[in-house]
Amino acid sequence: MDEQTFAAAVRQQENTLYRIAFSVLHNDADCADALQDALMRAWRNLDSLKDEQAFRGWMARIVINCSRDILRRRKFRTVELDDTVPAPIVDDQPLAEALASLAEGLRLPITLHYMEGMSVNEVARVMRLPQGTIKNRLFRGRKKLAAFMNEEEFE
Amino acid sequence: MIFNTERMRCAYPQTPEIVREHVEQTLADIHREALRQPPRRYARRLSFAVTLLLVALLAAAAIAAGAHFGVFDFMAKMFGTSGVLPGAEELVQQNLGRMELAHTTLNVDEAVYDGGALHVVYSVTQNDADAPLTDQEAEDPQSTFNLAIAADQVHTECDWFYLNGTEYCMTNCSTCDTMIGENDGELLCYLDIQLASADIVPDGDFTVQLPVAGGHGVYQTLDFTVKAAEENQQPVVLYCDNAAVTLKSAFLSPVRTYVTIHLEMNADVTLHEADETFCDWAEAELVDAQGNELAGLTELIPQNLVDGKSVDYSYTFLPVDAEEAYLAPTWINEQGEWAVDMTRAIPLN
Repeated sequence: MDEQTFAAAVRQQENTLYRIAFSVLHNDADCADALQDALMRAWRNLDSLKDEQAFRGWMARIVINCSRDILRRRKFRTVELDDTVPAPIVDDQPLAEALASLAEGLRLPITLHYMEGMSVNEVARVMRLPQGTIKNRLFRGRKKLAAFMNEEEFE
Repeated sequence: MIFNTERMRCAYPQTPEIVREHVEQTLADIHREALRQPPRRYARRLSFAVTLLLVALLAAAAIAAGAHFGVFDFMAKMFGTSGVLPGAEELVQQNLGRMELAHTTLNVDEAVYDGGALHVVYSVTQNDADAPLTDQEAEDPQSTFNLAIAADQVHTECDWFYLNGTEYCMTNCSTCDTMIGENDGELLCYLDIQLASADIVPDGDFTVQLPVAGGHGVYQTLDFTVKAAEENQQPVVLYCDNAAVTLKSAFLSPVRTYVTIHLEMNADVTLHEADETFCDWAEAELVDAQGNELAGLTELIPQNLVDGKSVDYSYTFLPVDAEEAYLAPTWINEQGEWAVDMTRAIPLN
């Protein structure tokens, strides 16, 4: 893959990569940093991509790793919370809150499978987990989302 | 609750300008880096040359050692590393059975049985081939190789077999993979048959018949005998607060660690509570006495779910060399992190 093809593939997947980073970080500034790190890491390790058809999953994996790195760094830095930063605007706020309530290990498979249309097999490869585990997490995540939404509706 | 792409995407914001700017800025940096780094191409050529040299050296070493792409090589192909421990090679049995057909010859190159799974590599070789297969020939249904296979009705995957004369269907408990072999007209086929997960624990040496040729009820089998594995953990029943957990089998071999449990929920447990408990065990980890993870999971097979109140889970982990190993369920704590629950942990050795 040459640099132009790489750039085109990144632009095509830009929204997907942002949503994956957001599902880990919930913060646009950190997502921007994560994508920046991920693109550089991907470009410099492009030789490890054996099959260009697998670019989406390969890139998703790198974005997840970079997002987790930022999350780890965030734990060690002192942050003054800025209450003036508005929450991102979404069309379905209850569902956004329900998703945010999930553990990352449940939210990521839900995001990759239901939001990005990846197969269970593809999600398993991206997350480096057995397919059985991914199916279980999708089941568990769905149940928790439904429970959260119902509670909200009845309150 | 409806789960579809359109609805789910409404829960996330549109990609903000700050992210788009960072992406474009990074792509511009990459463009500049690509322009000023012709050495990268050289590096690629160099790395290609080094890779070629390494492959040649490895191939020469393999030929010198009489080695063949075997069970552990297929594992490494699938997981990046075979992960096996020293001593695993003692379980490898080679050239166990052969079947000569009109156009092809089948051979059981390797079998590994460690008490949990039976791993088999068999080769399918076109009799009159005079060169190794190419990717294109392997995929082209009209290639001489595939025409030979079709004429002999040979199968390159198999999810049922006979063990000591009894037929077993292993749908969902068997993994198949293939790759081109180094010999002329040779395709290698790999089977990973999870025997323990299906409660199959042969008593002593056992015979296997793989129906890898034929069809319409008439099959020719590739037959071989496999050496028994050492005995391992006997079933143990443990009681947790809302369920009986039976450790049906645990095999800690140098190849893999296999654990099968049966969960039986108490009668008064609701389906929701049962789901939670099932999920905790579906995410079980192989840990030491302090709850530290010992080895990663490579396979999880849930089966025999009855009325939402009982289920069997078969786990395959990478092998461990530890004095004490436990299977411990996990749960999601208040911080949203997965935590090991050692109060429900099952000792495996």
